[in-house]
Amino acid sequence: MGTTNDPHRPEPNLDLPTYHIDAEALGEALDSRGLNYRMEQHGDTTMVRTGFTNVVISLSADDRAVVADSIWRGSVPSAQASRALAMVNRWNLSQIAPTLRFFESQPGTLSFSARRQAYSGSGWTELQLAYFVTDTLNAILRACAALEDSFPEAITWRNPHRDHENGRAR
Amino acid sequence: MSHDAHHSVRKATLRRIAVTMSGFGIVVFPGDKDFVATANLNGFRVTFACLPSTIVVRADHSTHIESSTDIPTLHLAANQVNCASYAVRAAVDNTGPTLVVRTEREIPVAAGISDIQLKAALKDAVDDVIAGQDAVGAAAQQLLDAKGGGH
Repeated sequence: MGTTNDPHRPEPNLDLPTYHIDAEALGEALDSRGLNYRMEQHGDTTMVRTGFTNVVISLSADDRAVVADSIWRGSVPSAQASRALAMVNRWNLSQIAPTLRFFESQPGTLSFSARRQAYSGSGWTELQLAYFVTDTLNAILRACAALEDSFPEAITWRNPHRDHENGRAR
Repeated sequence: MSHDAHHSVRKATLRRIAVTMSGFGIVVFPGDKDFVATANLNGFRVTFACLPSTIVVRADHSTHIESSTDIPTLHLAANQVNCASYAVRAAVDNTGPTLVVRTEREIPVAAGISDIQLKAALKDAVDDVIAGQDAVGAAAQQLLDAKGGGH
């Protein structure tokens, strides 16, 4: 598989094999980028868990879609809801992906999540999978950076523990 | 992985989007920029933007609520829809005189897309942005009802 940073586009009418995308395929895509992950079973769904110092990320796939979901490590008091609302709305208006949203994770505390979903019901080529995974991880990290700009007071991980994580910068 | 099929994967173009949509009986019109086309679907203005790495499908619904309002109902409704398991993304455009509810889906095309993939992904996206508008409306109504009926 070629590097995904390559601006190369497929040749016109290139006939390529497509694959049904499942958790195993997502895990392999992370693996080929040197990213650690682990599989977790949630009911019928296999979640592929990965992450960076500032965010936990889970990838999953069903017959129709691949979903990347994440939770940012920071949180803010619920009293900041109007700031949170303005920030996520501004992001969602100006950035194509991921979608930022927030919710009360426990009484009085707001957590932020970045999510991206793509239709995969017709299968993907290896290159399509590679682009989606790389681009989505980068996009989630950009969303986290925007959250950290907006809520610097929420950053509590100046001395990151990297035991089971993939470091922050890529 | 064992492969399922072979697809003729090509660059996404606005022309391919228009041809695919016409297969659904939907006419798309050239937009104000050369990478944008629009259609009127279920009363919503739907925009198709063909960018180098993604196709954006967007439905806009203008409201009569002035953008200067400090009532956050629509913003909260959009966040609620984004938190639910809808595939669509909702946002509130407050850059004009009145608020516009925007629902959006994107189709990654950086590695090309086949006709079969484009057809299925466009159908999914169009259905989702229309359903998303209804979802934002319903969430806003619920918020208003919870407050005891309107502002």
